[in-house]
Amino acid sequence: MENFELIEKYISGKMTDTEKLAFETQLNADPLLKNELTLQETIVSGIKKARATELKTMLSQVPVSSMLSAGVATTKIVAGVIATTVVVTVSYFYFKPASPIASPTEIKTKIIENKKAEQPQAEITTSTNKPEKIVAPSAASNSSFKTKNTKISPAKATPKINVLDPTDELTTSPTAVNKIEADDHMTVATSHIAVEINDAEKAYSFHYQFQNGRLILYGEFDAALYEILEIHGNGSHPLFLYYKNTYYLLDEKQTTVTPLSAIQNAQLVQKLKEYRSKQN
Amino acid sequence: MALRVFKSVSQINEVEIFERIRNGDEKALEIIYKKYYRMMTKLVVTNSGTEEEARDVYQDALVVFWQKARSGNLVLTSKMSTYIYSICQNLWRKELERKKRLSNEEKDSSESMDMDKPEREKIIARCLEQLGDTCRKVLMYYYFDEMSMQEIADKMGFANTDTAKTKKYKCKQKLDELVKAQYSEQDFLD
Repeated sequence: MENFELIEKYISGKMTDTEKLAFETQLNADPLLKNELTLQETIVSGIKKARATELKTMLSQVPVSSMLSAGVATTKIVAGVIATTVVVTVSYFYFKPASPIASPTEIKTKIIENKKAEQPQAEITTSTNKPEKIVAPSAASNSSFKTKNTKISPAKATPKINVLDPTDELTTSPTAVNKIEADDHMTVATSHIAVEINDAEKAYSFHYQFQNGRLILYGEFDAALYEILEIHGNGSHPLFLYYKNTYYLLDEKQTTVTPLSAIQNAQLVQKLKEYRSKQN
Repeated sequence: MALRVFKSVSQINEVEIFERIRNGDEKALEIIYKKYYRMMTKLVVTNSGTEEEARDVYQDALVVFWQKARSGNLVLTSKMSTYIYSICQNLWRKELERKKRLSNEEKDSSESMDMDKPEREKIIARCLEQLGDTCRKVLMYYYFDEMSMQEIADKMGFANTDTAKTKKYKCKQKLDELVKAQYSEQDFLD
């Protein structure tokens, strides 16, 4: 009985230094007491573990929007999940980047959300899976789309973690929404491009094609949110794909499977980015 | 317009939520879990983790956060999210190190060392189940959440702290007996 209380106090770390010393002396002299202590320590840690498991189970039942699909393969028609099509009036930028700003050009954007990929900002990263390979944080946060892929040799001790500013996502979202609300020029319309994801064709890892008015993206596009930007102006309406912080031009005349190549023109990328940030 | 609906829930009073967590409101923990889910799991996923690992790390981090907040020793000097984020970072770093060690050592030694720990934990979890809801909760609140007798009495609807104290004592006795019985049974089998 007395031992029970002593052991409790010892385990909970509530003993004073003198009490602790006295108890430890007693422990060394009494193997039975020592056994009892070990057992009690096990029981208490077992209770704690059970409670932690209980809390985790509780959290697991909370519905959350998952980032990645859990390895569901085969072709998926995403056309059904097109969330919104936003038509925004912004300044003219694509066709003659060098010329002064002319009449407003209509830009149409389709934000396509894969239900399982509700990520407002695609991450600057690569698809590395090995623990040794860690993506170094890119120098200019969101502005650069070239990521460095640093290989850390096993000899180096501590793995580096690519740190994101946690406050970012929280503080920017509401203001971004306010911005959209404040924009009088914006209207919402339905899009006409249907997008299909095909991740079954392993030969085409990051390709696209247009087929019967539909855009087919080949590769694992589930990993992050992608957007199709459609720009209206000067009689044509080029399409861009935004994925993982990089922009790609989509040629609607392209009916054969073509690899997606990133837009290298820094000026154009900058303009697209400005537009996207306004829009988002 | 769908955007607005989607994001309007994000304005939650941090101070209030933290206070609720400190007072042992599990609903508040669920709100936090939901709110920061993407942000926290992204950390792991963008650092060579799977989403499953990300979820696990995030849940572990919240459990740590819960316990710290509950014990009353935690004074938030930064935003709650920043704090939870740093826990996630530490946990994931540890996990990466563990994985690397495992692959480096070719999984030879060190494994058998802690083999029976999960086994023992399972036994205790089973015994707790056998005790019934009241006992299980009282013991968990006392040992994990470090609730005072007053808090336990309030939460469990006991008449006073004396009832809580007696209950806790008796429940612990019962658990000890069950565990000891299980243990001797195990020894017998070995």
